[in-house]
Amino acid sequence: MAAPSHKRQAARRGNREENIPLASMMDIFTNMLLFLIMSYSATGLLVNQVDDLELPLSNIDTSPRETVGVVIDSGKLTGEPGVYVESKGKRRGLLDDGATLMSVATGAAANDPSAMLLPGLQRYLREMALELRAREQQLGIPFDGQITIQADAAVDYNSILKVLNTCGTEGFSMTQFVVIKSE
Amino acid sequence: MAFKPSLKRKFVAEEAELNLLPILNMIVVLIPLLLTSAEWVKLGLLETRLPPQAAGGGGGMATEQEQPLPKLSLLVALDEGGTAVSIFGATSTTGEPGQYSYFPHTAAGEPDVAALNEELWRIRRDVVKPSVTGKEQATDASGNLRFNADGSPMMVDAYGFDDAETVIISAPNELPFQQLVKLLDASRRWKDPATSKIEKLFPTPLMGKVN
Repeated sequence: MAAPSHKRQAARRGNREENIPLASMMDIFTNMLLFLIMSYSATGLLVNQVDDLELPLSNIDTSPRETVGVVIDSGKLTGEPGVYVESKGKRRGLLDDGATLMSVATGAAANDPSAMLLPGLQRYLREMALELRAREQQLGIPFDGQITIQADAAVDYNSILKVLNTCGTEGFSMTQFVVIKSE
Repeated sequence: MAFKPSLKRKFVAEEAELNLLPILNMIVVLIPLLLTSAEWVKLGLLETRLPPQAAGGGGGMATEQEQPLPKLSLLVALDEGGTAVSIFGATSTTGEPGQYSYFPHTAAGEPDVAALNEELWRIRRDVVKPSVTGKEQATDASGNLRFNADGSPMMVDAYGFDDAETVIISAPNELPFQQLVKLLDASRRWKDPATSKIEKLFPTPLMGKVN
């Protein structure tokens, strides 16, 4: 049987099936795939960086763990300095405001140990310690006193010491600061 | 005799085209999957410790009684003009040579972390020396024994000093956290410029204030 007329006409004009050149696209995709495999994280993010916080850079190679979390904000980006509860990368509530955080005791008050404590953080950590110790008894998950702190790079040393001191007082002696790996 | 193909042969080899569609399909599925699970900003954890009295523990005493080793008492103290490094409680006026050194800030007014790193490596190499007593089980800040995730004892190098892995950091109130992290980085490890080999320095920082 003869071919339909429109096919014969097309064959006469020299129309053939055109192939899209896929080689260049394959090159791009292969490069993308390699890059993404290099930056693949099998464990997932156990700690999420809180918004509007400029974390310091470090050459540390220890990976984050999921623990009790607090945020120390210098107010550089948000304008609201203070200590916050951290949960899944979000600020959940203000524990101590900027004035309490950054106050420096002078004179005789400097020797008072309570001058280096943050009352809001202390209350929160006390509650968390009770909760974690109860969990330890009920579920057998050990309470090892670990706490993860996300502190802004501009936070001063005095504020850091106050937070560390408060954590230590309430039994959270294994303090860990979240940093951005720079190497 | 050289082989010559027959001129009568009519067979013409066709160019075979590789079927890329299955590979493309796989890549199109893989790329969104990897995009969602990629780690764009790599976060790390910087572990710090409080001095024992502030940590509320006091368990360290038991360790001291069991292993009465001498104390290195390595102190890195920052002030407005520079960074002082001292061991065995030496000050600028007391102590033997090599036990106290002072590094002025750089022209930018920042601590000279490179000089500090070199000094800490000298102390590590010449004073602490490599492990002298083999391995021992690691303890935490409260003196409790530490274990690996699989339940086996966490073994660390043992040294001739009770606090051979500890550095006490003291700094002015207004020191920014980023500068503190740089100090901690400089006190944790040293990189050999010739071989790029990383050497451990003092990975356990205790932060406080020295008046």
